[in-house]
Amino acid sequence: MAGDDGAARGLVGFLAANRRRVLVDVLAIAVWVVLLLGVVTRLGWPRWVYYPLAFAGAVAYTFAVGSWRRPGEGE
Amino acid sequence: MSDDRATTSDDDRATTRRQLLRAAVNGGVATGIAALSPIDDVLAAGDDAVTITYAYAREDPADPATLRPRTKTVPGDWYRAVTGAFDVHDRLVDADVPGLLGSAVVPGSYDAPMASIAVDVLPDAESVLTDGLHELLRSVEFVTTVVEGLDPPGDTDASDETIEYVDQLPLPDVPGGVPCGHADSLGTLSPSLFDESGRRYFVTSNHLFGQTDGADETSEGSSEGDGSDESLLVYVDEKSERTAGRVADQFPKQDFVLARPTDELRPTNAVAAPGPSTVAGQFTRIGLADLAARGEPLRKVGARTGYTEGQIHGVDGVTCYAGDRCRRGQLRWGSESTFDDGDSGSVNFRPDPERPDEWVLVGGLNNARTWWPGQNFTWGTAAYQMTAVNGVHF
Repeated sequence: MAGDDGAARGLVGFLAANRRRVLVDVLAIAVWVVLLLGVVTRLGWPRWVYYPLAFAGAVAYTFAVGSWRRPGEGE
Repeated sequence: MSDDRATTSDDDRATTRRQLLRAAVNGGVATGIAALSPIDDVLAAGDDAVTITYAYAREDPADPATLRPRTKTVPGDWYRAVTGAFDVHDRLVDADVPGLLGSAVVPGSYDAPMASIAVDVLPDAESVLTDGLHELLRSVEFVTTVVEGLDPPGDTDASDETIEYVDQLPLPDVPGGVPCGHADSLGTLSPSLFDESGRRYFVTSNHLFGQTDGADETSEGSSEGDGSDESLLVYVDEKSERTAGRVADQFPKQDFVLARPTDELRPTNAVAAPGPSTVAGQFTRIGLADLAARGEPLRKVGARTGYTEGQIHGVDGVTCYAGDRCRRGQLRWGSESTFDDGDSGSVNFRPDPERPDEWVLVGGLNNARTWWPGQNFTWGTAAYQMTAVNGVHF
């Protein structure tokens, strides 16, 4: 295993390679949660439904769009 | 690239790991955003609490200068439903529909906040009226009762019935609930009413003084009625009666009289009831609706049926059952057994939520009850109506 320095460098490289994906993910999830908030309050669903649905939606989205890439793996 | 298969397999596993990692991170982000979002505020907006003035009560029950509003919070959707029904009901009453005998707003409960309007009609007026009501009451559910055979109430022979005397009257103070009358008529004394200047009066039903509904009423509230200056008697026990006061003002439409006390006896802000008995004030219209919503019963002490309890059935009602005039601001509660001839002039009340062991708040007068089949309640002018129209308060 790489040392701390190596791990940090790996993370930076990793984030650099997936920068666009991370940003798109955060935006997509934010939109999803806001939509969900509207639906839950409009339909009067109980509050405990809200958090599991937010989580499950984000996970489903992730499996739909695929994985992160390794640095140098290409788009 | 020498061992293609092995590399692909390693890549697959790494991809799956990254995929799971990404899913976990995204799920975490979603939960984080959800936790930060204002769902409590949004949910609360549909279920906001509204502050109502449920009563006006005195901080010192004996001092009319200490009258203060009493407030509490109620669910917003319940409040909007019942105030909306009050507005629609006002329009119904103003429309002066012929054949309409009576009506009242029936508040919903906190859990089922929808309010409705109870409407009583004569049989021949039903179809015409129902169409008109659909138009008028579009926004509010209403329940129609057809009233058949609304004969004038028969003269009950009261002489052989017993009178509920009050034990241990604290004379010269005379509380509400004491048998009273004039000539041959028996009624019940209300707790004292205060006028705007804080003067106290003895009070009972106006119809004891023989003024019928047909009497001239061009000068509402004037003292030109039949019973003006007549003496109001209180019956202390089987043997003794005392003159409590002389009638100063008659209000046939609200069905009560104000009698100026003689020097002998004093009107008292109290009811001769078991339990709390000091009258601290009175409920408002929305306060009575709130009691109805929570199923809180009212109490009464009368000269004929004594102490009884009953639920509220309708608030801010109109009654046109007796005579050709309609009375507004009527409270419907209890049943036919809550009230009988001789109980007229008694008040309905319940313990003051701030001092439930000592004080009570008044809902209104009890003036009459149903005598026809199909309906079963007592009604009378609510205290808030007497304050609004006549400027007096309990």
